[in-house]
Amino acid sequence: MTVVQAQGLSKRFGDVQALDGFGLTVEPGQIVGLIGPNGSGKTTALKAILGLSRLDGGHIQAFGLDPFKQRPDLMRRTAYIADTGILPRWMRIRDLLAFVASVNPAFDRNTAEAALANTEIRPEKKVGTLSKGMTVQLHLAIVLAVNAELLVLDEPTLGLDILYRQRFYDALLNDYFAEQRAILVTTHEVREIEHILTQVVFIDRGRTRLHLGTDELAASFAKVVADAERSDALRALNPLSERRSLRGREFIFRDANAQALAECGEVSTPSLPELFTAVMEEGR
Amino acid sequence: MNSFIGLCRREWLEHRGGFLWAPASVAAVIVVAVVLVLMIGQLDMARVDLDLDLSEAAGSDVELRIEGEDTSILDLVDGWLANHEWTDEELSAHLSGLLRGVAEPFHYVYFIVLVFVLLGALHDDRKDRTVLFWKSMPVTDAETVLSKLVTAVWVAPAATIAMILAVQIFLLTVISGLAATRETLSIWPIWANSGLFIGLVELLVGYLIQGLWALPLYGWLLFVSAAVNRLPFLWALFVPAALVALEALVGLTSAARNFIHDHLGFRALPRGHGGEDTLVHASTGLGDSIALFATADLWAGIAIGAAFLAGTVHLRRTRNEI
Repeated sequence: MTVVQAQGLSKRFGDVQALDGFGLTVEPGQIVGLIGPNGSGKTTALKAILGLSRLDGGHIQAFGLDPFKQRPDLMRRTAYIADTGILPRWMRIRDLLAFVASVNPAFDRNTAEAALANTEIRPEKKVGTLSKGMTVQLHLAIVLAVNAELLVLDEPTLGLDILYRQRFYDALLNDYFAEQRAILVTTHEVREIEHILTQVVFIDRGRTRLHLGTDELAASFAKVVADAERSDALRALNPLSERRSLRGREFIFRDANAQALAECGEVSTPSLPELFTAVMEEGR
Repeated sequence: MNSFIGLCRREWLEHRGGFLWAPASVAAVIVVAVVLVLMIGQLDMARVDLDLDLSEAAGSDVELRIEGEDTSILDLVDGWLANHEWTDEELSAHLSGLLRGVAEPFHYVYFIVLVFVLLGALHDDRKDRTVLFWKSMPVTDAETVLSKLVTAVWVAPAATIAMILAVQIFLLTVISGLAATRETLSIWPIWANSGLFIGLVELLVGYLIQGLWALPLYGWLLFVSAAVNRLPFLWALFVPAALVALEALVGLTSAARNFIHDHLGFRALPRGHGGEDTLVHASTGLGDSIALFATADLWAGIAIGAAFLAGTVHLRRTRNEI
């Protein structure tokens, strides 16, 4: 069963068209990165998927449910971190775990406690006494102890130092991810999640700019580095983008004739950040 | 049901300061005051001032000052003891009046805490962004709103009532002790005629019905809490004030003014010692509280409160972090 199916989503806030025909799909076993610049509509899209806001138009289903109308049902199968490190500061960790256990049947308190036992987080402490990094660990421990089929993460590592960022994604892959589960993650730090994604979705100005599997990248996109003499020939092949680098000029192509490219310079597969920049530039 | 209890428990934990420690502080102040009076033993100094800092309890800078009239226990007791011909009726009138009177500061403190808890209920978590965490739980927005109402209005009074009862038992014990030393009044009639038990029933039933009576107010506070992004207190005050002012300006009716005035009063709570006008419209007893069910006023209030609650749930569905 398709986890998330969204088409033609639109949402306007005053003068700003936050979503303008955005769509994406998430299948079980996928780790989908929703990547876009700040203000591109990432968070608005996630809120729609999580049933936190009403849309102006479009069609959206998660596990066949209408997220806005059936949010409690959806939350039995979905865990999300909308803002890491935002947990009730006044609450003791023990009480917080007891609360989640009382309202969420999919939450396994023992799993969460076992995860916390390996950290410096003590159950009798108040959340407010934890550092930002520890709060994120706590949040992650809670979310990973929910037996959810979909995990949604919005900028999960924002404000974390590099050590915690690495641990965060390691925990995600090792402790949570499995074949029947799916992860949808947004970030503006493409580099950080590049290596874990199975799918990428680029979003810009509320529209889907690219939606494909990371294993299809090599077949669709090519990067060519050429010297100034060959550049004109490459420009004639209609590149997505061109930029100057130390090694010469870098061109990024989509669905171009591989042989023609190879005659002009050194061909490779662009990295996700390079591709992101190229796709975003093309639309501007 | 399990999850609703979990939600209520969450509310209780968050506001334990206001729900439990605020009435406990009032009780402590009264007990300390009485003990001081007994120790000093001078009748003309038996003046009790309550000066209570609620800032932690209510999450804002509220200070409550209750300047007692001559709440002189010794005065009272000595006055009684001087009179040797105590009938049960006289004892009952004085003691039940005293017990109800000592409950009054608790009512006021509870009311103030309640106002601030309800105004913050659906506002504070949007401000500190934890709303996104709460909404990641599989509970409906209706359950969330109801749990906040039920905990603040019908669960929290249990603590207040427990504290009132503790202070009342303390006072009766003190009076019994004084009576014992003077041997002019035996102890049993004091307890038998104090109305302690019926007073407890009155409080339990009173708070239950008071919650319904004041439902338009509580619904309104929750509605404002969910609706506005800034200054909920001012909005909660300003809109009804503007309505009443507008009504006065047009001059055709005073329905809104009367409705608001009536429902602000502790209509279902037992009236304290000291005559008719101690509390606005206060109940004279159990029958009076229960009789409210026969008034159209109560049901109109419930309907208005329910409408506010429905609006609150609707707002809560789409309002996330501020």
